[in-house]
Amino acid sequence: MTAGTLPAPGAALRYAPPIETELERLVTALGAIPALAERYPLRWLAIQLLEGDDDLLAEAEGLGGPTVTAALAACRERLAPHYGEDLDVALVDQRYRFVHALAGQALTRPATPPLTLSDRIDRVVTHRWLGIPIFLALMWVVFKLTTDVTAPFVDWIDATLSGPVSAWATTLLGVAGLGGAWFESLLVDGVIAGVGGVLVFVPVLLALYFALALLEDSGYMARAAFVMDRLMHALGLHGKSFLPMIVGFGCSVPAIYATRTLDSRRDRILTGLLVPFMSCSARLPVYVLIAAIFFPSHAGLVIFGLYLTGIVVAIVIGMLLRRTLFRNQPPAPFVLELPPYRLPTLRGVWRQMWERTAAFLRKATTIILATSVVVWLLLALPVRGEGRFADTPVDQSAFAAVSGATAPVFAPLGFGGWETSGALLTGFVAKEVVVSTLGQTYAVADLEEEVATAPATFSEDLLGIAGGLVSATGDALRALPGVIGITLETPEAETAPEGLAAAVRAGFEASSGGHGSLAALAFLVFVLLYTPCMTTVAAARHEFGSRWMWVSIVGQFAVAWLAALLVFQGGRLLGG
Amino acid sequence: MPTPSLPLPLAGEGATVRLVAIQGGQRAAHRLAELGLTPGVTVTVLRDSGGALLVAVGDTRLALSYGLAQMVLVTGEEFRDA
Repeated sequence: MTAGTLPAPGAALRYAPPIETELERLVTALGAIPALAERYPLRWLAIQLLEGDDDLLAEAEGLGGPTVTAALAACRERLAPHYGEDLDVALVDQRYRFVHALAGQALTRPATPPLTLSDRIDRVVTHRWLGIPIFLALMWVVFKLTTDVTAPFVDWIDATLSGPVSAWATTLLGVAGLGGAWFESLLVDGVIAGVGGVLVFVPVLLALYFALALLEDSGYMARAAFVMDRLMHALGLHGKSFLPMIVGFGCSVPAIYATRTLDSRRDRILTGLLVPFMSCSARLPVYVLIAAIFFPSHAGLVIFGLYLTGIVVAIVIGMLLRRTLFRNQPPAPFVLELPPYRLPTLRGVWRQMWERTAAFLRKATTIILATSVVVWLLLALPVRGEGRFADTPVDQSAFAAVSGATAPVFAPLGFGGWETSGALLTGFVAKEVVVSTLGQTYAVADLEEEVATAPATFSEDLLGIAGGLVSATGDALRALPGVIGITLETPEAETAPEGLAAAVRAGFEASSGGHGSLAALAFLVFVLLYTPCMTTVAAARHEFGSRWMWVSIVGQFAVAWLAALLVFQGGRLLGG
Repeated sequence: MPTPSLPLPLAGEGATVRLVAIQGGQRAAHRLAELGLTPGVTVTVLRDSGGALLVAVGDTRLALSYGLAQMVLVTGEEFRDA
């Protein structure tokens, strides 16, 4: 602070005489402690302490010891007859009086303040009937922006990492004389694939934080909270919680981070616990595959039903939590200042995007990397058969053994085979890999196996990557109009390879005692409701701490298990 | 005859009232005072969503949940007619 260089204000703020007397005494007492006198403007410190700033008091006590506590208590006691419990309110009140008096002398205002532009926008935006549709339309735009527009970039990063970057790593290892060994597999299938799993989220997060920064900096977010307040009350939350929920349909990770816009910790945690039930986009490929195999003529209906189930479950769990874990914590009564509308600045928006995305990268990389390496290790370790380390058939690996050990948990749900358990296990890391694990465990060639091409040179690779970025940008720009339009793109009709379809069907029929379709439906419900991915877990830990992370993991597992049980056993009772 | 004071949510949309006092929790009262809701100020209720109020206090616009608004006691011309 360079307070010394500023001209002293012409009109000084004086409090009422009793307060001024005590402030002077407190300043003298605090000034006797050099550590405090050097560090703080003493009058400011005295005012803050009298007003009851607990954090600052702890700091001052740390530097000044019990003298501070005693001096403050004495001042408070002498002021008690004048203000009772309302000392802090009195201080604020006197400040406002001073400001009003000053403003009254300096400003000339019309008797009836004119309606500002902000007020006129608010008349529309907070309108009783228009408010909610406007909010929903904006959320739709955010949703499309984080999914459709970023999808080409996600694919580009994915392709770059699994293609050229993996090839480079292999080549480099070959040059170093380490090629072909287990080390290569660890680096390519473990480390690069794991880090890639985090990096593909970057475009999604940047897009989300871009939209959030625009909504916040323009001043709209505060209005949205006001508009949505009533609907969210049913869940024991208020309006601001709606945004993370919507974002959750795109990806749970940014949705967890979006809870930061909420004021109270209770609301952030409760919202964070409900967000994962929103069906994120990574779950869609699993729905598409399974629905195409078991319900070919009703696939769309099944998928839509799953999205709806997620919402219903979130509402039910929200009401339950409100009456149980959060029973003694009513929703924080909220007061929110609605700032006048402003045009967001490029700099401010970029800074928010970058800071938030970087924070995610720092935290998530470690946990994802560790998990990927563990899964790789399990897949690499042979426990039976002839395989060697890092060169063993999947069904003889430690992974198969672990999957087999967890399989009985899923037996009552109709999908107790080790193949499906394995897919659910890797699905804990990321839902994207459920499909590929199913492919691996049912011993069919990797579904996403790239067609082998002649090895490209480094410069060809670079050109390919650059070309990919250009075409991704083109695709993203083409997706932009769709953000405003409401053409819901139907997921690409993905036909399962014949061999896999037959193997999956046979597997589900065997594990469910002949109720394959029912077991498949239960499997889908389970995939919908259990932990979205390791990255979400990392985000939850980052935001809410380990304890709530575990509540979230265990809670979601229990909900998923019970719901799948209900589907499978209930369906059997009904004769499905 | 002293004018009666009522909780803010009862003032109704469009009403312009004067703040008499804030009753209830210390922390809440302090927070409201910091945002400019101090005794004597004029408050205009711009919107009533059914669960929260949108009010104007000078140049400031505040959204207040009913829970907090209940603590704000106000008085105004309108009440004498009612």
